[in-house]
Amino acid sequence: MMWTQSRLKKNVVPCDQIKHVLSPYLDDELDPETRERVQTHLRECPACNEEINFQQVFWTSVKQLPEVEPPPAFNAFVMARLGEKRLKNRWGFTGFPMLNFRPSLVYSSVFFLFLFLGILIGTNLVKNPLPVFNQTPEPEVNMTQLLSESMDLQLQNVRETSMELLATAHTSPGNPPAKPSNFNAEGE
Amino acid sequence: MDEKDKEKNITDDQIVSSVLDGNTRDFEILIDRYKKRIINFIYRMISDYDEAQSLAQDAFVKIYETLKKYKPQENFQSFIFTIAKNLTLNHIKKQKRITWFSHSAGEGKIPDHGPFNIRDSQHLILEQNQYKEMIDDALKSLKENQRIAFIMKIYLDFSYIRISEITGWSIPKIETLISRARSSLIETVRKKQRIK
Repeated sequence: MMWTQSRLKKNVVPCDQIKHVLSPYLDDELDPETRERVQTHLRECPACNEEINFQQVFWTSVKQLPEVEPPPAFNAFVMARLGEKRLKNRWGFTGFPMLNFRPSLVYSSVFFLFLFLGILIGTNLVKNPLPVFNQTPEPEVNMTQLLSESMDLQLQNVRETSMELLATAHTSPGNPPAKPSNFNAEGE
Repeated sequence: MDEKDKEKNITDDQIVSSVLDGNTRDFEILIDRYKKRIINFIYRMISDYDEAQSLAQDAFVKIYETLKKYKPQENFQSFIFTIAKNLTLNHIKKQKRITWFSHSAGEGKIPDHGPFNIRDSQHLILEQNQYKEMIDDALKSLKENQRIAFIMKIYLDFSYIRISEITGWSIPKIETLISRARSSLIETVRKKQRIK
């Protein structure tokens, strides 16, 4: 026990030493010998006796203060939470306990991730700047002009193919060469 | 012998081994046994009923999760109150951090008394509530370690040895803490009564 108790055993108990053992005396934590000495002193000393009586009444009143009652659904709440935990464990997922307890860890790691990505992209851009394209505006398309041009092209194509056909007809054996359109019989 | 009598005769250790064998429903017997004491311990520590019952729930979930670590040669009350004490101290630390950021958060807060089991007249209830408020305020003024030791001794009626098992403090330290808490409480109450 405490040093005060050992001192109490040696000598006659003075009042100031009683104060040191008052609390363990009230708590019934003194060894029987020291307790007996204190009780003898209390019988002989009215001042200490009055103090101990006051304290006994006071601490009893403090002890008897009303207690709070648990809510009626307390058991159900706890059992429901245990059920949830068991389900999680059954599926083998128990979360990330480290992160659950340290949300700051998540925030800081996300911050550093973005910082790292930012530096990476930044340095890359300095080395290889993005190509700048001199884009000239596309000319406006005139649909009628486009149509007439395509028509001319088609006509030209038709003309060329017909000329080719005529040329092959002239050169092939057994077939007399076709008379040109401006052929004059008299000029032969 | 009915079911309730059977439950009363089963020891904590027997219930623990039954729960560990897979009979989760038996854990409810432990909840029934200790919920009131745990809620009251936390409530006396933080003076907030809603928080106290929420922390008590957390405590029981934690007890269930760590039940495998419990050794039968230990005292089961020491085991569960260690968990409750640690959770409460963590909560107090968090609250301190929050009030550090918002200084006026705790000011003007109406004390939450929770549902009491008093069947006295209204007059007595009022007087008792005033007295209770005074003691609650005096308790709040104690240092955390003093408050823990004092509440465990006065309200839970734990021996110094049991408190030592729960807190890990030496018995002389517990003796000093409780003695100082008593002196400090008496001083505060006397001052308040003189003011009145």
